[in-house]
Amino acid sequence: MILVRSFDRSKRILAAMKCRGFKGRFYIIHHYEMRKCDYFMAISSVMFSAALLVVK
Amino acid sequence: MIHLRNVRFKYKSQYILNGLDLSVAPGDRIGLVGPNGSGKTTLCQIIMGLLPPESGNIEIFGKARVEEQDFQEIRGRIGFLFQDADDQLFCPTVMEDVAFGPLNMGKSPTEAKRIVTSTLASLNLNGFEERITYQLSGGEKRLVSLATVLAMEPDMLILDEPTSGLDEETTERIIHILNESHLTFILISHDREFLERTTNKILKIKNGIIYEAL
Repeated sequence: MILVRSFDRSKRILAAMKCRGFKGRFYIIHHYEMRKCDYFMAISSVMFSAALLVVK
Repeated sequence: MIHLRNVRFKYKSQYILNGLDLSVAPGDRIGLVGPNGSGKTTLCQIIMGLLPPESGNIEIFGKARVEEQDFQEIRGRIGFLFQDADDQLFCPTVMEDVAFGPLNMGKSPTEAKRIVTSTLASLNLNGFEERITYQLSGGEKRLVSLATVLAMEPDMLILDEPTSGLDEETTERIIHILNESHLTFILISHDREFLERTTNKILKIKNGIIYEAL
C-alpha cells in the first residue's frame, strides 16, 4: 500500500512540477563553488590516505 | 480566456464530466462548488492539461489546446495551486521552491532571487527563504505554495481548496491577498462565506455539468 501511495504522490509531484514550467531540465539557484570547508576536506582526506599508506 | 465546450471525462466507466461547458472572461472571479467527487479537481486538471478529456474542445488564451506542447505554453500563465501543499513543495528550501517556476521560465538566478524576495514579502513571509519546506506548519506550507504560484507572475489562478484546514487568521490573509491581486481566478471551496467575500460568480458542478448557482 505504501508503494502504491508513493507512486501516486510521485505522479502528483510531477504534475506540480509541470505546472511550474518544468520541461525536463533542472536549473539551480546556488552554484557550487569551493569553500573553506571543501579545501579542508580535500587536504584532510589526502593526509588520511597518506597516513594509511605509511601504516601499511 | 478559457472556453471549454462539451468536455467529457470518464473514470472507471462512469462519466464525471458529461458535456461540460465553461467560459472564463478576464476579470472573472469564479467560485466553483459541488459535492465531493463531482469532478471539480478533474476539471482543473483538464484545464492545465494534466488529464486528457475523452472528447470536447479546450480553448485557452485564444488558441485550441490539444497536445502536451500546447499546454506547456499556458502552464506558466495559469497558476495552479494544488489541494495538498505537500505535493507542491518538493525542494529542500523555500527559496529554491519559489525560484523553481521563474528559473524554468528562463529567468536568471539573480532575477529569480529578486522575485523570490518580493513575492515572499508580498505575502508577509519575510525571512522564510532559508526555511526547510518539509518543516513548515500546515498554514505556512499553504502560503508558501501560493508564493510558488504567484512567483511565476501568472495572468490567472486556479486554486483548489486554498483554505481547507486553515485557521481564521490565515484564511483572512488569503482573502486579503486574493482581493488585492486583481487577477482572474477560479476558486474551488466548500466555504460559502469565503467564496462570497472573494468571488463575483459562483458555479456549481452537478452530474457532470456546470450550473450557475445563486
